[in-house]
Amino acid sequence: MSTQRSDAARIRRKYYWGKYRKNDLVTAFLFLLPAFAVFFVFKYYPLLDSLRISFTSWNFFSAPKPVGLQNYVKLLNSKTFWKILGNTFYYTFWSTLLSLLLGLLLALCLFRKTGRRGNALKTLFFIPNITTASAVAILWLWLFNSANGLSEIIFGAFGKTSPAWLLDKNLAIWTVISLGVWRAMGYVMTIYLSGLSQIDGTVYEAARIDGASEAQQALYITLPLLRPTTLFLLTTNLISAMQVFDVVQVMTEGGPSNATNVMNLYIYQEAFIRERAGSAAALSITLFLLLLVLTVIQRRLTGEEARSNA
Amino acid sequence: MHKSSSIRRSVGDRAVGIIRTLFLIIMGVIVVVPFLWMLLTSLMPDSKSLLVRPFRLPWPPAFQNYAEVFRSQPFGTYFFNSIVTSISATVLSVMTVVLAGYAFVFLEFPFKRFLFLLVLGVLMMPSTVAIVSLYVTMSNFHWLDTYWALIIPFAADAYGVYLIRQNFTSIPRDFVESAKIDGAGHLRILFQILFHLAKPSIIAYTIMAFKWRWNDYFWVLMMTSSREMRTLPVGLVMMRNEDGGTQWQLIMAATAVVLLPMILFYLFMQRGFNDQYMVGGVKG
Repeated sequence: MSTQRSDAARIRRKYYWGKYRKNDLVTAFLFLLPAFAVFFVFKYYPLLDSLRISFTSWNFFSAPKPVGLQNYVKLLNSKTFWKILGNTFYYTFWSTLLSLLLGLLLALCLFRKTGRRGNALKTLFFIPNITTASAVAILWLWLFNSANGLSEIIFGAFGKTSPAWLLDKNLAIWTVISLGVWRAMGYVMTIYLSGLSQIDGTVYEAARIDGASEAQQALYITLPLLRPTTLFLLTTNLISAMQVFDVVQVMTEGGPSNATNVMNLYIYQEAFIRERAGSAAALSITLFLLLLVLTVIQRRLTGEEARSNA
Repeated sequence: MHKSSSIRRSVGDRAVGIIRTLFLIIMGVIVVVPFLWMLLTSLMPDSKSLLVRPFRLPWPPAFQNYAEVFRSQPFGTYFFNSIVTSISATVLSVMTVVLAGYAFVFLEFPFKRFLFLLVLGVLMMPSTVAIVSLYVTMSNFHWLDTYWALIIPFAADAYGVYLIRQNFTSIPRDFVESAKIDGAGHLRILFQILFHLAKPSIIAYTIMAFKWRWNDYFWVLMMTSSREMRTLPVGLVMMRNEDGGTQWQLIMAATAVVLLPMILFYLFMQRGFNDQYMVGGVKG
């Protein structure tokens, strides 16, 4: 009896470590190692290192000089920084709003079209979303080229001259926004379509019996039921639009006179053109904190939504 | 059901129908025209024909522009680099992500919750948050301007871990438990059972990861400096900058070379593309 129990204990000790199976522990370690090695080396360490660099004055070559909060103070006192932050919010606000609006309208128009034509249209509208942003930016330069691009042809047909889209302070950012919306709306449509497909169809039957028109159904039934989807799209679009880079760098490089400059491009310019590593790091950390706030708000909102639906 | 009740459609509903069709036509034009303009321009014989007004269709089409792009610029090299780096990073990332997802769902180990929180933490970091430090790190590794810099940082991905873990949780544990009793090791369970059960989500993630790498511009721009290491997006932008915007028929042919492979890939793999949103779900 007692030998049996000690045998069991011995076997347990051989295969278990506390409550964990030894085999599981070794496997878990090996399975997690590659992913976490990447996360630590290329995500966590650089984040902390950037924080450290943001407290120094450094040009990548000479020894970094500790300057405390000076980089951050300079930022907050710099007109350019506030202008660029403003541009970033402007771009983010309008591109998010328009992509959501157009994407929603597309989804509402195509939701009940399940035939061949409907599917073809859904495919078509999604294509811009998979395109390479920088390449489309080149295409946009040629579309909006005021000397001999499509813009010149269209305006010329009406006997007018095309505006110089990218040289005009007010039009330039809208040219960039138009590209952002063009690429994002198909994604929004797809997510809305999947949201719509989860709505119980009998709701509409009831509404129709009550004599509600299609427009009324959309306004009073569909939209409220799509709230969680809208929240999700709103926050993910905001977060990704805040980080726009490719399109602006290729189309305007931030010009004319910073009218289209955005945070990520400014960080890039500070770091690799003006070689101010400290200031660039401080900017990155600022952007990170901004996005963190947005992400926390997102978790809050979508979390509450999930709870209230449960 | 919709049919029978729509026999007596009100005037308002009919108006909505007309507006809907109009809207779809306008949006269709907006989506198609840029591509059409790209293809038409890419078939123009020379830069002078771009100036002819009224606009004339390129006839006969100058398909030689596409050959010219590969001859005058190292687009063959760019293409090769894009393929090599996108595929390597995707394959590595799918492997590491599936392994990590398995560990999080089917294995018991200490600090599991904390480690998963670390994965979620990575999700919150914008891709550019640490470019200064990353550049220095790559330089210290002597990885600048090499394939390593374009592949290894993308050999794992927090979103992928999150997605695959989510999907593995929905697989009945009985499958795994009974396989264990039959004496299957973890790797065998993973490859013989889970790969089949979670196929849609693994394919969806593969497509997503490939798309991210193929379309990436920022990282490649930062990490490479020589022509030999550039990928298609960076090569295209450099070509346009060097040209200054005169030979648009060649630049548009090059743009088509960058855009068309992904579009064709999408048209062939549509199911997988659409699955990525179903799998990810609205919960984010």
